[in-house]
Amino acid sequence: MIVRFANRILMSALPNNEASETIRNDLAEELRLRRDGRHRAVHALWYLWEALKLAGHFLLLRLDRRVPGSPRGPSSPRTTHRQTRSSGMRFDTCIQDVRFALRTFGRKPLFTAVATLTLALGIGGSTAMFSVVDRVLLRPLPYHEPDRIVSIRQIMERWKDVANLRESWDRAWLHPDQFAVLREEATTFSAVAVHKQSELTLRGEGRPEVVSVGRGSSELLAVLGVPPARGRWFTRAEEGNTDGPAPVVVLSDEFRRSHFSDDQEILGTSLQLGNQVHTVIGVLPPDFHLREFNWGGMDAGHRDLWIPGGHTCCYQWEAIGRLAPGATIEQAEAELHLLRPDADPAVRRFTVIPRRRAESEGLATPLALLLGATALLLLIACGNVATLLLGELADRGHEIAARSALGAGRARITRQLLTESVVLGAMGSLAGVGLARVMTPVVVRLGPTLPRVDEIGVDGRVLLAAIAIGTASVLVFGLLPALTATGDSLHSRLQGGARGSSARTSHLSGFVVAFELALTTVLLVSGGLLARSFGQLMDTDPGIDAEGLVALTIRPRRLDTEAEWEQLLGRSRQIRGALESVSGVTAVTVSSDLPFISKPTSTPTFLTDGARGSTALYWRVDPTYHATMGARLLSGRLLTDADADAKASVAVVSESLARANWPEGSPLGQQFEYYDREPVTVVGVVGDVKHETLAYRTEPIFYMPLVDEQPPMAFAVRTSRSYGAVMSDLREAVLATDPGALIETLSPYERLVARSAAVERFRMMLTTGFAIVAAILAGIGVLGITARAVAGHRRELGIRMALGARERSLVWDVVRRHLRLAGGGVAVGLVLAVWGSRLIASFLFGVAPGDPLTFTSVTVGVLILALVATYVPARRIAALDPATVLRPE
Amino acid sequence: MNDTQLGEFEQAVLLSILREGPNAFALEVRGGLERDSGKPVSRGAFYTTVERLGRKGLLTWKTLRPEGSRRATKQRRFSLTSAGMQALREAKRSLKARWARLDEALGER
Repeated sequence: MIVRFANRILMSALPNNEASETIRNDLAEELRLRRDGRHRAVHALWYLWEALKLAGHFLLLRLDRRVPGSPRGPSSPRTTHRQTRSSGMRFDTCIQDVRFALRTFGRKPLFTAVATLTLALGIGGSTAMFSVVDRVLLRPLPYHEPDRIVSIRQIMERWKDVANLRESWDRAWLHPDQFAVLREEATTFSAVAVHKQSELTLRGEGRPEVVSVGRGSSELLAVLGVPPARGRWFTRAEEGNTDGPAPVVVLSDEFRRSHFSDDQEILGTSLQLGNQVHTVIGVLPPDFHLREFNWGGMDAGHRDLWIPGGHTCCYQWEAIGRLAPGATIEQAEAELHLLRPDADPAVRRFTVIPRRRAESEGLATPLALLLGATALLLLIACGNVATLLLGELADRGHEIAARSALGAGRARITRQLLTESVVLGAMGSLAGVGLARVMTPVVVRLGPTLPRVDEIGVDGRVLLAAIAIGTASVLVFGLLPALTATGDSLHSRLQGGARGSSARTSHLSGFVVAFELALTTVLLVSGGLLARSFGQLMDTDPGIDAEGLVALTIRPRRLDTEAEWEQLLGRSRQIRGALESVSGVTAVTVSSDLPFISKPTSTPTFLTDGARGSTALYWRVDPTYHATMGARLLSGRLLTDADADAKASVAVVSESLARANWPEGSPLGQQFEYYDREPVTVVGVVGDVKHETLAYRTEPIFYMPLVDEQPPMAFAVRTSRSYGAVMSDLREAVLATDPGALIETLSPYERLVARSAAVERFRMMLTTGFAIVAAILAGIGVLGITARAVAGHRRELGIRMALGARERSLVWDVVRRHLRLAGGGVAVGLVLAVWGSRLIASFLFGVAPGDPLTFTSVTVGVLILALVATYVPARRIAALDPATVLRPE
Repeated sequence: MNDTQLGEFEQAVLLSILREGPNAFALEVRGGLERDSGKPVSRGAFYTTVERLGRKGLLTWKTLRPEGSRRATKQRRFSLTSAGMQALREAKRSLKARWARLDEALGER
């Protein structure tokens, strides 16, 4: 990659001719000779460095040649001296200035590196973040007239109290009957369509694979305004024919590329999906995505295949529509209420919202917060570059004065400083561009599922904006020395060194640093709160003993005949036996569902007196389940083999269900009902278990003995061996028993639990990452300005030392002066942080937004940072000999 | 300086090509220069000088593929033109003339 990048630089810098080609080849040949298979990265970096030098040489040469009158430029005897002066000189001196600037930076490698890196961090970081936000939230959807596309949903007030429906009470999907009314009668829509995601097993040559399948109605592409890339989409007649004799399928472009060769004729070929052979009738354009809201969030919208849908009786569907020309969202909503495509209008209301809002639901706030954090980082970076450049002023006072004395005019010196700023800005921007390219994919990969993730790349406009901000700060603060320094009288400058302007700039840099410390405090408080919250989350008891526990689930197959069902039941037992015989396995259990894997579905419970109990999850488990999972038995007993054999109506309930249904007295021996089955007797109470994620609230649950309703294919295996060794043995044991088995999950529980907190971890890492970088930058800033300010006070300190002032009081004096400023910055930062922590309150778990521990430790931390950064340079001066300090410069 | 008068670096480049024999590759010529001078030679300066010598007609090249290389990369093979040889002879003569009778002044005799 580095070599390719270097080649690209060479291609753009060298003129496009054969000679250039041979120059590039020479360098490549040299790389080939150097490479001996080892240290490839080192050689690649060498190559990049040589390419950069070569490119720089030729670019400068080209610039030179454009200058008429320059030694290497086209010369004409008729060019008058005046002409040469007016245009040529300007270019020539410009190049001179650039060369001079590069030489100046070469002499100060530390300053140059810090300034470039700071700018790069600010520009790269903010560009990466903003590129993501821009694509996800701000860009129009990749459909035709996206603003006319809407989501049609129902609001179900009653769902607010039902565990697994609570998340979607205001965005419920539509029933096929409702959809049928809408598509026939609604006039405010030019088209209405439904879709939903599902999974099917693709069988054919080789291993079966699970593919993501979209089911869509015939108008789906009309609503989106996207034509298929090849072939056609489904017709209305095909909608009801998913199980009929000749079902059809449309491929996504990605699926086509991964499963077929480019020149292969695809239309008319067959795919075996589940138990049926489908005929391919079309291919969708590349990057076709359609997201749906499901189980707590929007999915990424990727589907491998599409099959017709919309007619099946019992599913709910996500509905989208294209507003008719002239129709508004309000009119559409009003029409839906008039049509009342439902029997019970009192229960539900319809709502129409813009598709774009629907697609970015739940993402706007976290992304906006991250964006805020990056903006703060960019500001801090700019502030730091400003203090660095202001500090330069003190150093360069003499040089500028000397140059004025030698005849350089104010304009000339200003231009020189301007050039330096531009060059510095360009270097920082270049490094920032590189950083943005590296960081954007990292942000995308680390992050939670984002919509349109394939489209996210570094955005050119965003990059330009960040570069503009960064370079502007360099220009403003880079030119300050010119404006102040050249304004001073030459005499005073050469006489008094940089003292006058140093006092002025130290004031200015003092404020810049106070401002930086304020922003750092905000970032540190936010990062600290999220880190504490994450710590709390990881300390949360999942309710199972995750160490040494492995989850293994096998995708159930569709069972058409009694014989197949019997066969599968037998196979489940065989697999369990095979797993038990793997070396190192101490226990195997089997159940209908497993925590952190199954999508929880809950059912209402009813007490025997007819009162409505709590809704609860309902799982069927093997008698060994609780012991193997490491669940805590609180009272009563666990399920036994006798319960299973007798198919007894007994249940073990979780602590929270016991508390909710029988708040007073013991739940043991109590009875409850679910659905309309016979009463179930509670025989034991176990501790609560987390089911989806660590952050999600604990759902009440009851466990009943396994019955032969559905062959269970969810196994939990407890092992005493290391995961690495045992996982492959487990996989082999399953495949040896059933070669066609499709293993869906095979993962240590520790990983599943950790992964359930991935979003929180991402948020925490990003924010604390920003906060740490900000703290480092602010520390450098404080250190830099204190060092310079102290240096500015050398004389004063020297005189006081000579007059007998004690070293400690001198140091304390300097420190106090700067700490006051730092204290002001921190105070402002704390006020801002209180406000900022309210914004992130919804992401906090087990930590209050005003957490005193976080606020106190950040305050103390930042003040210590400022103290150290002030003390070190002050101590150095105070330790000097007064005679040395006072010796005339 | 007229067109056939040689600068020091130009001279070094021509001499290195002469030493490597006819049809020398850039890598060999630059390697020779680095060996002679004992310090790294900037690629940019080298190629600019080669182009300039070519424009002056002192140097010529053929673009070929290196022998035994299966890669389709073209590289230049440099040779001196007769004008190039003449310029080197002229440079040597003028240098000798300038040094003549100075050995004693330099305390080398």
